[in-house]
Amino acid sequence: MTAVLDANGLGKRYRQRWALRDCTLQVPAGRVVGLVGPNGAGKTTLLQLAVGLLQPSAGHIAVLGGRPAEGPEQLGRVGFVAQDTPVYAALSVGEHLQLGGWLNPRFDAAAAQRRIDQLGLDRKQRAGKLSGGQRAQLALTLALAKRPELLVLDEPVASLDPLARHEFLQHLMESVAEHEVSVVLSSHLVADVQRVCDYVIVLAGSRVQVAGDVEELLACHHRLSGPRRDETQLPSDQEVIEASHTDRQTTLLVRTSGPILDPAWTVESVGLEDLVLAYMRRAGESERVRKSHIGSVK
Amino acid sequence: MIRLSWRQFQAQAVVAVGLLAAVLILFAITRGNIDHLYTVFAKANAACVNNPGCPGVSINLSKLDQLLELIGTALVVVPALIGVFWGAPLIAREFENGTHRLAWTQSVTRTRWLACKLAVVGLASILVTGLLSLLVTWWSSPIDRAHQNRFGSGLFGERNITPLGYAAFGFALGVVAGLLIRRTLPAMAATIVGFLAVRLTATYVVRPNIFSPRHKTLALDPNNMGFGTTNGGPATLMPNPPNLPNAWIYSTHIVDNAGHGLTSATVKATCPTLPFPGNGGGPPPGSGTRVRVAGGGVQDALHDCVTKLGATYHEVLTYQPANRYWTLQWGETLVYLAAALAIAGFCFWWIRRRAR
Repeated sequence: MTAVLDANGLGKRYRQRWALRDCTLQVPAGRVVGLVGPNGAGKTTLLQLAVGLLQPSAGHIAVLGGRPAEGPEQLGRVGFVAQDTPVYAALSVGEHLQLGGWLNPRFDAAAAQRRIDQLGLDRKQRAGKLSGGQRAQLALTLALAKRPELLVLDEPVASLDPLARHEFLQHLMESVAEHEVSVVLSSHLVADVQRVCDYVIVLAGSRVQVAGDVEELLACHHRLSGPRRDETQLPSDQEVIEASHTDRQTTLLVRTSGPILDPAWTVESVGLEDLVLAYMRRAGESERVRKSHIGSVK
Repeated sequence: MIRLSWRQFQAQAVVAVGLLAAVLILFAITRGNIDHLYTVFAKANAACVNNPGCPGVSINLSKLDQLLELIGTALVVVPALIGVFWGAPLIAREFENGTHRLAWTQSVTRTRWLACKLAVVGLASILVTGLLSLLVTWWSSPIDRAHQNRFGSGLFGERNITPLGYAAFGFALGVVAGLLIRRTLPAMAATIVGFLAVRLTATYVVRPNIFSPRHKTLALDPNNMGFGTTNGGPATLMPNPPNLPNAWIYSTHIVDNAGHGLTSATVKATCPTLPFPGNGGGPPPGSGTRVRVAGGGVQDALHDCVTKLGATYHEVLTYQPANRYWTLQWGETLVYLAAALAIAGFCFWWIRRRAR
């Protein structure tokens, strides 16, 4: 099966600043992928590259085997809900469904209509007067009714209150189950990702830090604690993601495919949140080192 | 996509149709009276042609008619307004609200998206301006026939087909400003500045120099002569505008066979009896060219003077003949339309290659 998203050395530069760099990724089909990272990490850039709103400055990206936004056919295969869920303020909810039908040959108007009724939205209401949650739901309805093979959502719940956020994700999961669509959604909240995603990509410092199946990632990361020691003397198959030391104790977060054999360690499993945070901190650390290095050279 | 473009344009279209309808009704009601007034005026004038003592014929337009004449002037403004209110927000507003991200991720390429927007609103701009120009040209035809001055710098751009070219250009300019600046208000400001700069340059610099004017040599006509000053300079003889209906007269000069102009000193030396301005009785000093038809006993003195001067001096007229009117109308319209198309082409290139 072709990857829904296949990026190779992908990068995007705005003047002097790289918003995304050296991004190499294969996202398998049929997954709900969470793209997490701090603000400004390049999440929006990656997603806009995937839907063809941006063009890469370096490398390649293929989506469902095609070039993003190549033509009407490719555009029709990918649904997109942009950040802040833009809608036409002057047009009514009903007119949005109408325009969805005008602009998409495979548009499922009946399903969209049904969904709007379920949500209790008034078709005559102007989209500009909807609440943030309702607007997000309208945007999701439009994107789903295209019958896409891949649905891309950029921070769809960022501006919603907890209740609206819960409802939105609930609806999203129901639709995903119903239509067997692959999903890539970005969020800076790990809790949301943990609830709905089975695959995660951590993006920080405009680079991909780690990507993989959530369960597999959790299975191969461990927290080790034991008497103080130098973390460079670990077996070669254990990669240290994060280390902290007190006078007598050392705590490590390591990635390894093999078992931990050293009896001196107390081994604990790691939650997704801790795992993501560890990778983000590591990215922040290496960014600082790189910057201070540049400073000292100057 | 055509349907969406139309739906987004609907409110503006309703306003335009409403205004056009209002103009149509006002014009339809008042046109008969204007026609009547000017027919009477023309008859009275014709009766006067061979009668030097004929009292001046004047025409009294009502306040309303004077106001309606201003609608012609609106044709200068309408293309600029179209650029500012229809062109500039067309794409800038989508960028501002982020709705381009919604539009560009439907199953329609952005090329098609732009093509439909340009087609719907662009053609509407040309259509609305064309209809208004048609109404104005029809309503004011009796006035224009009386004035015989179709090349007048206001009139030329307010009648017939030139407003169509301006509308297309103003619209395209607004669109490209919105596309490049990406914010509505600054794009509107840029549009108005750019449009005025181009229109003024084209009208006052390009248009007079595109075809070299014709020259015509005339004998001095004692019955058609006045005297006056130019910008407060020394007073001299000045011919009245020659009777060339609808021609575009650049200048009239009095020169001798060697091409030297007639000076004030020569006039004084040749005609010592002429009560010359500066010796009292002339027009008050001031700026601008003042020509005054002399009257009474002065008339005879002037007559003799012109006859004497006519032995060595003649009049040279520089002008565009009336039959170049349609060549210039079509030429100017097509140049503006071509500029609009070139700008549209640039928009397509930009939106495909650069706006991502």
